[in-house]
Amino acid sequence: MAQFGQTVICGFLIGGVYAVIAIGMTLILGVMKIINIGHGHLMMVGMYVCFALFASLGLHPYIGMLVAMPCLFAIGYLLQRYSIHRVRFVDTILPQTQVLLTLAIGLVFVEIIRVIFKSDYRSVYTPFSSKCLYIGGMSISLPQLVSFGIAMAFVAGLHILLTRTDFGRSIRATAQDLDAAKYMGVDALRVSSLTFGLGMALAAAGGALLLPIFYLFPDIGTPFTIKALIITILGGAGSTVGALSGGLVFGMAESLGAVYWAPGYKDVVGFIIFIIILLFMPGGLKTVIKR
Amino acid sequence: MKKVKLGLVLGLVVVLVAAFVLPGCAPTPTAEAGPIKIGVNLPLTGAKANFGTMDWLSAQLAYAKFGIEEVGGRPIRFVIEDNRGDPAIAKTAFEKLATLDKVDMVLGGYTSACGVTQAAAANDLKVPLVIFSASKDDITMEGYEWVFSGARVPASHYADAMWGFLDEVLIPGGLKKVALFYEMSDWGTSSAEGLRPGFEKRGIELVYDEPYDSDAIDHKPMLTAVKAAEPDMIMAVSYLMDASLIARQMGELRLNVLCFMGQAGGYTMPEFVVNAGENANYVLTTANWSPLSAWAGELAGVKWINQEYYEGYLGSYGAEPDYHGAGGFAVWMIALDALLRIDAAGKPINRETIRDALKETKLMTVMGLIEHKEWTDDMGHHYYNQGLPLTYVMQWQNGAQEVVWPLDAKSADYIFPVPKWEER
Repeated sequence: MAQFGQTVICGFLIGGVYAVIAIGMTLILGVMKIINIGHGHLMMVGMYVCFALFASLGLHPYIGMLVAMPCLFAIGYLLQRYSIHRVRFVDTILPQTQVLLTLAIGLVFVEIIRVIFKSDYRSVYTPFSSKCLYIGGMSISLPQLVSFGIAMAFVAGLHILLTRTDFGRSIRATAQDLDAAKYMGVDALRVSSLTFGLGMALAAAGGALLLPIFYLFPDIGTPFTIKALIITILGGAGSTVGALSGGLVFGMAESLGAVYWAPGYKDVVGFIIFIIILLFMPGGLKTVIKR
Repeated sequence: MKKVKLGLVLGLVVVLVAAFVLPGCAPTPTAEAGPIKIGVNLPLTGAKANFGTMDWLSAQLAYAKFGIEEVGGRPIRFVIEDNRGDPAIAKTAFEKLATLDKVDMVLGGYTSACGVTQAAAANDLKVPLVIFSASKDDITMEGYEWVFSGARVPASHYADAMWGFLDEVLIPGGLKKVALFYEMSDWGTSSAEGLRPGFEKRGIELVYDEPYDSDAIDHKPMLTAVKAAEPDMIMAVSYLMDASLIARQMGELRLNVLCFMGQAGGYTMPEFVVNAGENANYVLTTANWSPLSAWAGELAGVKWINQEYYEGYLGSYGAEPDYHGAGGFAVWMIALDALLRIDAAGKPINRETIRDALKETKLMTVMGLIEHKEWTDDMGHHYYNQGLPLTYVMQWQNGAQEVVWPLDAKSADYIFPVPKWEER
């Protein structure tokens, strides 16, 4: 029983962090219909901002996140406005040029970071990194618990932003029907640029939450892009609740798969879920939640 | 207009095809003028860069130490390729070194997966390859005529010293059940194949035996399953950051065992203690080199001792080396020794003579005596051009690595059983 409980705790806590990383991608996909292949790479940039602040000023990543998020917001805003937007509606030989552009942008950032920080592994290890609560023979990692709490706050904040504010309504209107939103006076370019910036800021937040429990190197982004994509498909594009439930389900599936199947195949669990959702529930979990 | 476009496209295709195909059609280079070109094919960026960089920095240290910049009137030039730890890139890089750069020999082969692809390419293209530390057994079991072990220890022999420690210390101390987990690439699986028979032979029950993904964020689910299996000892084969995370997360779960034994790899790296913090303490690890070994010798008229390498690396790069670095130092010693022997015999230096000289390697290095020979071990593995450096058991004590086995090489007493996490 303790084994099962421990497995569920591990899956739940890591799932919360996954949700924050993925929520930026789901937002961008939902509003702009763009799969941001550079998502994990830009998350990595946010992690390096936090790491640099930790290494130079001793700021914990939870504090560094307050700097990393605006930085990544600005990067995201500028990228969308002056780069992605330029190719978004252009007829080119490839139908998804903007997707390839996000990949290229991500790779450029990887190499820039490699030049600045080299390829060495970095980690933010503090005595707090290994602190745990022990309940009934099970351990709960305090950094993961704090990360989970912050992750939930971000998800709730974004949900409120999207459902209770004019800006949120503009985002949702743009997501539902771009042309109709334009006719109603929504500045679609501004909304999509702000949305892309917001998505990147959330990716930075996810990276900052990950930093105390994981490690960092320039190529870290790719697996997180894949995880974010799976969670986005699992939860349904453009849905905060979908991303949260997708993240938790994905984290739990990985954790249970590692214990009751084999730790080497936990990624396979994610891909099986990905295929099942695409085949039998193409709208993702948000369609179930709406019912 | 369409014809012009078609012409342009066809022209481009012809140029591209020619660019890729023609270099490969060039005859095997036998030019014995100009510099002696030595290819270096290592992961210098990417997730495995720590290892590759240490290998290469150590080889450069050896190059500077012995001070030989030309042999037979030909200057030595290095051509460096960064394979990023990707086996496919490692193979392509090898082919580029062999056909475009026309190198006389390649030093390469970290990681195991990259070593496998490079070794096959070396044999196909008939270019001598000296391995840094890629340790998958198969690399020197294929009968490749052009592949040489250098100072690498085959993966199934990493634990050679550990078996003595097991027989004389751990089993009398109550060891009956072992949990084995290993990173799931070539090195991990090859190591596990070498470890299982050793445990079985001693009647030790393997209560957990699983591969894992070294890139995983959270190893706690796996460690939870290990905890439920109630082993006396954990045996782990890991790279660097997974080793660090595993040590940290074992502490978080309070996974108490009589001892934790790492199979070299990440557990011997200086960065292990940086990333694992105090959780690194009491971790035992097999190791293929010790800075305390009294190896000494002379090469190219320059006397050397093992400790000099350790201090040189520490002084030059501000970090401690481990066996990967010592292997890199030894690889240049082996390559240089071969070149000098060819020159001393009055033969031209080319791929064939380098291969023949490497076959005859019998050289004292910082990894001990390296002799490229054909032999069969007690597990039935038949190796070609393979040496066998000594191995050790080390233990992290108060943030430093101490040699604890064999006893005649020890720098500190072993601590066994290790204290429970709650008592640390």
